[in-house]
Amino acid sequence: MTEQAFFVLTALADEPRHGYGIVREVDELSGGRVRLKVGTLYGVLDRLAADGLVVLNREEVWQGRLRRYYRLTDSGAAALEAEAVRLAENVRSAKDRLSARHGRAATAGGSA
Amino acid sequence: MSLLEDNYRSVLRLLPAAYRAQREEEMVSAFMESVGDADDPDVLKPSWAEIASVAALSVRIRLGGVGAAPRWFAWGETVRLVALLGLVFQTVISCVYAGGLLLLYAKVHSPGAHYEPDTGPGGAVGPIGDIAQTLAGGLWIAALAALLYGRVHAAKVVALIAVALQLYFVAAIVANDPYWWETLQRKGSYALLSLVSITALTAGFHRDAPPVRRGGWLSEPALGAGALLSVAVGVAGVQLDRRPWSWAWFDAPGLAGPMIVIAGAAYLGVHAYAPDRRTPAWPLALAILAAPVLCARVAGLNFSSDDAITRAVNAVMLGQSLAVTFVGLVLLVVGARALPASERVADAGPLVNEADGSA
Repeated sequence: MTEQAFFVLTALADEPRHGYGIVREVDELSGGRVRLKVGTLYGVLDRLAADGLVVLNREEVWQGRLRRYYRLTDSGAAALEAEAVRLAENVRSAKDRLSARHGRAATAGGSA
Repeated sequence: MSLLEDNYRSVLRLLPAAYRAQREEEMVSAFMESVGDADDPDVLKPSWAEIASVAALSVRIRLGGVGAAPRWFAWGETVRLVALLGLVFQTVISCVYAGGLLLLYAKVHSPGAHYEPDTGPGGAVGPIGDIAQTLAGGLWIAALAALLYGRVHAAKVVALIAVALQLYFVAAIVANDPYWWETLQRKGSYALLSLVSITALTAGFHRDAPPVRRGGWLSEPALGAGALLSVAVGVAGVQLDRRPWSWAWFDAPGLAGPMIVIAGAAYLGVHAYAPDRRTPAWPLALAILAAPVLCARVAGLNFSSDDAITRAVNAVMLGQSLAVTFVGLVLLVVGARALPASERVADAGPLVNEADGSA
């Protein structure tokens, strides 16, 4: 799963959102690091919809403009959870290795 | 409608009409909201990054992968086949070159002035050039292997390096050549084939593209046999080099042209006698590849001399050009007719409303 797809699914985890709502939420979730362009967003949404991970929820007209809201499906939630577990495992492995490294450094510093 | 919105809608025209019919309003809405804080929208244009994102989306849709509308999937398969055939041809050329070089080194320990047109004037590039050019050939082979084994990103990177090396060679040779314009036409037009291959590889093998199916003509035994045959052709090319009639058959366009004609004729046979195996991808891919091959062949024509050898070589090249043109045009017509009908709006995207299941 790409980082963009991961953040889009995360953005839809709590409630259905429309295009710009997803862009804004992804920007916030990533601390401003992932700024989706509109063309990129709809490429990601097409792919996720084709895989059955998101689905069109409803349409609204807001200030004369069309807003389509997308919702996470059960498959989408499962895929997001699996990816989150995988990433958490990666983080845990990295933390374990870094702790061991810091421990070795402290031991070496103490014995010097 | 503001100027900004008008400009953005113009950018969206890059997308297929059916896709635009479904998505345009919500894309415009998302875009306009994203720039909603701008003070004076009338003087703004969409950023290059926004335009690039729409262009990339357009390429991904038009060169469709799994789940795409049949017509866009057919175009996607065509471009992916162009990339594959391009890489296979570069592999053939690399093996032919390596075969010829091996024989030359075995015979005279150095190709010297013999390969001057290819390795640099006065042997300036010399053995280092031979090694580098062989390395570039090896990179094409590595790119093909990476693509066949599902390493698409690696294939793109390696092929890009190979193209860069080839272009560097063209520039290095042209820079030292008093007849640089003729050399640029000859070498540059061959580089065009590499550029077509790398463009197809980059555009066609996007994230939604299905993996390459190994087997048949893309099986290891078939490719291995092809590589050995290519080395043998390279050796034969050097052996026959003193005979002028052979010159136009053993350079890159001279090898590519007959390959396109033979593959095209084989497909036309399939098209005629096995209707269930008809596909738009093969004829269209061969027709697309015929264009740079034809350019490279025509660029090799020499009308500045009128001796018997030049006339003979020109006659062979003209014959090849006519054959490639004829087969290319027939394949283009056959391929275009085999394309699935234009998409309907309902085929454009997976927009299904969960409430009523309607598109």
